[in-house]
Amino acid sequence: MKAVDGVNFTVKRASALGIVGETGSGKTVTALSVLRLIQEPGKIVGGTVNFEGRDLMSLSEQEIREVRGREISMIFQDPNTSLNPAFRVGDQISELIARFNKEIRTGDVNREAASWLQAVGIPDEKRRLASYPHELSGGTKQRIMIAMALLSKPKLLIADEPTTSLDVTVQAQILALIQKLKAEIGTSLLLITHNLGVVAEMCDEVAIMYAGKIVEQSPVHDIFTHPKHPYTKMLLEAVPKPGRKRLIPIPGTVPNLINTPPGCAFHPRCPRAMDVCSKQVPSLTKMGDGSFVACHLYPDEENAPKV
Amino acid sequence: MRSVPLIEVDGVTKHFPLRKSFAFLSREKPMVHAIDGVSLQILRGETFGLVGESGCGKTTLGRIMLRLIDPSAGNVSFEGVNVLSLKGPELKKFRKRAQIVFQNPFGSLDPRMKIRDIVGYPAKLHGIANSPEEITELALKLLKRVGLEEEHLSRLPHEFSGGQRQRIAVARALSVDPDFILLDEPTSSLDVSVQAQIINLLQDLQHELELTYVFISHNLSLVASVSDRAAVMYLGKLVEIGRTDEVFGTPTHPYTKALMAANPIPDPEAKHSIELVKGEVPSAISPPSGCRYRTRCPFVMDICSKVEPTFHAVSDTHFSACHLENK
Repeated sequence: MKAVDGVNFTVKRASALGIVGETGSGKTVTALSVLRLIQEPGKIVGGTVNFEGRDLMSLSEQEIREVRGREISMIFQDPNTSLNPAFRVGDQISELIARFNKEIRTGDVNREAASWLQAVGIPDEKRRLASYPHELSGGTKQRIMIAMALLSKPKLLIADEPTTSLDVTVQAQILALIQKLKAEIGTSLLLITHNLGVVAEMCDEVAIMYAGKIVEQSPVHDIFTHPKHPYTKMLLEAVPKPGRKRLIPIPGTVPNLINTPPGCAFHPRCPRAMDVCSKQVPSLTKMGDGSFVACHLYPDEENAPKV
Repeated sequence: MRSVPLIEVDGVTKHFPLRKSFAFLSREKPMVHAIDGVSLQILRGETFGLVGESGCGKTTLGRIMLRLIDPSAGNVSFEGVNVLSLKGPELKKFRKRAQIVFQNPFGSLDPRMKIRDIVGYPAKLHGIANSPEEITELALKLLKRVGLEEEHLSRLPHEFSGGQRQRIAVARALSVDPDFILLDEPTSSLDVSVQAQIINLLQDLQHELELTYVFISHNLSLVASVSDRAAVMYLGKLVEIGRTDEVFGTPTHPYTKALMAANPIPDPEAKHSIELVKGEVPSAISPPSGCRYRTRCPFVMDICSKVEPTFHAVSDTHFSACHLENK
């Protein structure tokens, strides 16, 4: 079963790429693959991840572990995955600080931990540092996870649905925090989400995934104002908008990845499906305006190589 | 028909005791103030949206409307009859008329029951369908109505997707021909495209069967889209109520404004320019005195910590509980 099939994308320096998709789109597997975090029985069977001139897929286990959490960090939907419930959060942050700076003295470590809590907007730092994870709210834990992810000043931050489980007002705070720190540190962001509103807030470019493939990739303005792929268009129509009572659904369901439809995986649900769609898989093609679409409605505009 | 109240909630309060007992210290047992003094009406035929963040009490309020939980104080009436005083056959009749669809499509269906039995059980319970043939016929009719097929009757819940399970839950709720359905986050765990299908189904059914809905959700855009009227709750209190275009279009209460400002919209041009509200929702065990929102409100005044704000009419249909309005 191919969770992800031939996915290509580029994350530019100090910029944010959003990967949007519904269940089974492969967006989380894609994100985990960058850091080779796929667990058995899953396996990355092909492709390269070019990071600062190195192919991460060719690194040894030891080498990739050096990259994780240091040059590339990741935050998840559930902050409990990053926080050990048996240790105070202060100790967990301090451990990381000391890991990245072996010469630092204990007094300085504590000071730095406190200043990181301040940087992520957690008041009453000393008390929080002494707390255990279960004593803290979801929003606070998420902030701590962000602090832990950013304290190594990574080049890339991968965020997998970082605010999905948070209240709307807390989500706004966390997103603003990520924006602010990203700008200060110059980190690039790879943001995985199903929420198009979050994408509009946070991202410079957006890639839409469906059944394991990228079907469209554009700068954020273009995705919303001039969506090209029928799936993108229909997804935007299905999102609730205040004032418009009737939602426009996409008929059918996402395909079973064990048995993807032949040709374009979206064709059974596509209102514009043509004969060729059930026979040939469309390739991701570069358009004149710099966007990419994988759809037979948009034949090769240039013979430029795919990104 | 629209202006007749189907449900009246009057001064409903619900406090839950914490499990730890401090009785030996002869102090009062700490209570979670889930809801405090909430009053509202649900009009026949409408979709009434109920929004708020964690700990606001919206789920508890919904459960109290259906008398799945009893309030600590206050009253609930259904068509003018006090629900809390109902017993025996009268209570059973009420249960037929007020149904619920839960958030979790994976928990609300008995994993060991076939779909035919899940959908047919309430009807059997209420004596609407008795023989096995009647139950099967009813279940089939309902499944088709929600867009499923005959072959699904004999399957088990785990064989279905989240969206399909919610359809089954809707079929089950319809099986007793209710007047009212409480929809508690019915699409929160579903993909956007599946959500749209389920919402459309619910709207079609409402039109066809003249149903009244209370729609609980944390998804503001969704509630703003599907509801006729809505109420915003914060830490156990109702803070704003009115027509949807009033509450979400021209919000008056600072909390509603904060919610709308924080809500990300799929439009890159509409970046947030309003100052983000600080902090998080305080504890429901000892909520702030006076106005509960005051610890986060950018417009807080002296009076806010001393006096609880009462509802002020912004229009005939639009009310907000804030001292700013009462100046």
